[in-house]
Amino acid sequence: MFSLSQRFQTLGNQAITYGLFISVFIAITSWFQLQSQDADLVPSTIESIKPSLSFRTSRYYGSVNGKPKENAKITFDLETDLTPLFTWNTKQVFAYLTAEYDGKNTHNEVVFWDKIITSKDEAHLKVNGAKSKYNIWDAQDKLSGKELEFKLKWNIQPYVGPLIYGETIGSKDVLVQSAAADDDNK
Amino acid sequence: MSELLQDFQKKLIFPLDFPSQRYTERLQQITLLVGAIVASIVGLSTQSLKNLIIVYGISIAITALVVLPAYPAYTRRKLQWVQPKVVNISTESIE
Repeated sequence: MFSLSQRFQTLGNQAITYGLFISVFIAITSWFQLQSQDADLVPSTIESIKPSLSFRTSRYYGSVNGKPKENAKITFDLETDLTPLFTWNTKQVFAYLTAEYDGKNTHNEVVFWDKIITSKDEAHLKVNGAKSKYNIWDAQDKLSGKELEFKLKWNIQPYVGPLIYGETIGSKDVLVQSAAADDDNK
Repeated sequence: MSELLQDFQKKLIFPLDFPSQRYTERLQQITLLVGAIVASIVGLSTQSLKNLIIVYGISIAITALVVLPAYPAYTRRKLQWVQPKVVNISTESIE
């Protein structure tokens, strides 16, 4: 503390140290706030999921050696209110619609649709007849005849602290009809 | 030129006396800690990280204003060195 530069250094060190304590405090309080707002119990309704299949021969759509690959798309309705996920430490929320299904030896999870929510005002999601963003294919086999369990999951990206993952309550099982059966319906 | 720079550097040291060094260090710890606690409370109660950062920044600025400059009050109690008792030694007597 003798010279000006020494005083400046100790002041800077101490300010940064207390800053670290403050950021830990922010992370802990925002976690408790999430618990008190029942962030893990947010309900969601996923309705009228209509899968549609198409065959693609491009290797960018999972085709191997030019063999046609079954690609799945869906349309769906979704309603949920994600405002309980917003605390003073929430920068943005990533909400994504996943489908889980069993492969030959694996349990798979694929993402059909997602949305980035940057403010509390946009947190009430209500979409009707939305189309999935991504083409989905099974790496091993094909999707038709599989039972998909749809769920809306979320990921909170905070200003300070770790990413927090979770899922809404409410799921929907849909059996993907084979393309031939789909054609028969038409 | 380098001598000029060295003189300039010596002037930039701004030394404090010993009691003031102890005092400013303690003062700095207390004000920063109080500032951090107040900033956390303000931020949590207004639910805004921006307010927290502003309040903490102000507390750091105030601490810097109080602690960093060598005010006259911080330099008054200089150490009194022992005065040499023998003033004149003729060089001839050593030889």
